[in-house]
Amino acid sequence: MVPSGRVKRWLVATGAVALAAYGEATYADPGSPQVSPVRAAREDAQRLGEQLRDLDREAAPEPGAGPSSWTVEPGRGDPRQADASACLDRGVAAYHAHDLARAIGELVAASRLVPSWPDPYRWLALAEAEAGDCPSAAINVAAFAARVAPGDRRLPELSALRDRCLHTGELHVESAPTGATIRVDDGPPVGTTAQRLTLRAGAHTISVEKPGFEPGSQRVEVDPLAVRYARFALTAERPPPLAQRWWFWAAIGGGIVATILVLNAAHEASQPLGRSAGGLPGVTCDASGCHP
Amino acid sequence: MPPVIRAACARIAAAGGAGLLAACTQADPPADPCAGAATCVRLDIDSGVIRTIDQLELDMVIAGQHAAGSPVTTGTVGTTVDLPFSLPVTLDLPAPPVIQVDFTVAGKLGGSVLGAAWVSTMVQQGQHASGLVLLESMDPCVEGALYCGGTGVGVLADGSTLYRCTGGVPIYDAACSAGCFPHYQPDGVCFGDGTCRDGGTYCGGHLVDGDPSTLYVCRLFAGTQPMPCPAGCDIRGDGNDACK
Repeated sequence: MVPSGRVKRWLVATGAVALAAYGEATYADPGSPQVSPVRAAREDAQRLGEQLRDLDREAAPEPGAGPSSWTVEPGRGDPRQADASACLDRGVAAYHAHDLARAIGELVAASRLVPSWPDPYRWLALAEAEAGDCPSAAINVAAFAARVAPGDRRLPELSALRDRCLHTGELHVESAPTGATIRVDDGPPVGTTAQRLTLRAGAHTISVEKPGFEPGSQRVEVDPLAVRYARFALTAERPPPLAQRWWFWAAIGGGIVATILVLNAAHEASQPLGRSAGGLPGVTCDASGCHP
Repeated sequence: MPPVIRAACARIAAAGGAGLLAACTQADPPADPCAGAATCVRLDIDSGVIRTIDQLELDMVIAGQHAAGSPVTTGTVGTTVDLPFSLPVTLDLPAPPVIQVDFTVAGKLGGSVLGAAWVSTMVQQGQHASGLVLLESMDPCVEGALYCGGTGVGVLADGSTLYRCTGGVPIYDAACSAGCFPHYQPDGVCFGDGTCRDGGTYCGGHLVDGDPSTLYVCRLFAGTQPMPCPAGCDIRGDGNDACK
C-alpha cells in the first residue's frame, strides 16, 4: 500500500523525528555497559521500520492517486519513465516487506531508467541504511539532495539518516576456524564469526571465544563510512591438568621418539608424490610488473 | 616403584626424547621468507576450511594502481602444500615512500578455486610488513561480470572498487571515486552524478553510472552503447570523453 500525499508528508516529518531519536538512542550513550551497540542499532532500525509500516497501514489509498503522487513524477510519454515508476513501486513495497536485497535491486533499476528522478535515490538511501550499508546510503542521500530543491520537505529525514551514517562504520569479524562467539566492548554475545557489524565510530574491543580454543581479543578503531576488519587465527586450547600428571611426561618421552620415526618416514614417503615442503614460491613486483 | 621415582624416570624419558628430537630434526624455527629482501610483505596464508592447495593466485593493487602482470599465479598444479604457510611478496619499486598494497588472494587445487580472501597492508620502503590471509570458501561469481567489493562478491574486498569475475576470482577492474552499487548482485557500476548531455560520450563513473574503463553515449542522463576501453578511458569533459 502506498501512502497518500498528505499522509506521506506526515510520514516524512515523523520519520525525521524517529531517525533523530534513533541516532540519539543508539549513539548518545557510549558508556552504558548494559546496552550492546549492535543490538541497540538493530532494535532501533526495527522500530523505525515498524513505524513506517504502521503509517502505511493507516494511510487509505486515494482514488486516482498515482503510485508516486507525492513526488516529482516523471512524464508519462516515455516508456522508460513508466518502467521506472513501476520499479520504484515494487522497490518501496519490497522495502516495507523488509526484502532489502529485492528493494535495492528494483530501486537501482528505477534510478538507472530515469537518473534525474530523485525519488529512487531517497528510497535507496533508506533501504541501504537499513541493510547496514551506510557508505552507499550516504552517497544516495547526496544524489537525492542534488536532484531536489533546497527546501524539499524530505531532506530533513535524509539529513538525519546521513548524520547517523556519518557516525557509524562497518566491522567484519572473521576467525579461523569460524563459528566463534563475538563480544563488543565486553558486552553480551552479538553473533558468531564470520559476521558483519555496524558500530559507532571510535575504538572498540572485539573479543571472540570458541570452545577448545584460546580466546582472542583485539582493539579496533572503527572509522565513519569505512569498512574495517578484525581477524583472529584461533589456537587450540592447552589442557593444563593433563600436563601435570606423571604418565603424561612418560608418554611424551616415548611418543616423541615414535612420532619422529613416523614423521620422518611419512616425510620421505610423501616427497615423490609431489608435496612441497615449505609453501609456495614467492612473488616479486618491480618496474616491469609482478611475477612469481 | 614409588611415585617419586616413577615421576623422575618419566621426566628422564621425556628429556631423552626431547634430546633425540633435537638431534633428529631441524629444530630451527621457519626462516623468515622475506629475509634478504629490502621491501617485502609476508603473507601468512591460513584457513579454517581449506587444508591443502597447489596454487595461489594473487591480484595486487599497489599504491592505487593495478599492478602490471597481475594477477600472478604461483605454485604448480599437482604439487600440493599444506596450510598454513608464509609467502613473500618482494616490492622492488622506486616510489612512493610508503606503499599501500591490496591483495586479492585465491587458493586453488587442481585448477579449481577453493577459497579466497582480501587483505590490505602498508609497507615502508626498506621495511617488512605482514598480512594474515584467511582463505574462505566463496559463492561462485558470474564469469566476466562486474561486482562491487564488499558484500556480494564472496570476498571482503574494498566496497568502492569494481571487480571483474575472472576464472572464478574477483579481479580488480577499477576504483569508483563516488561509490559503487549495487552490493548484492552482479553488474556492479560506479556511481556517476547523472548530469551528462544527450549524445555526448562519457567514461563510466564520472558523469554517468558505469564502468570507468568503458565509454558510454549519454541518453536521458544514462549511459548507453557501452564500448570497452582496453587501455582505459580518458575523461576530457564536455561530452568528449574517449578511449585511450
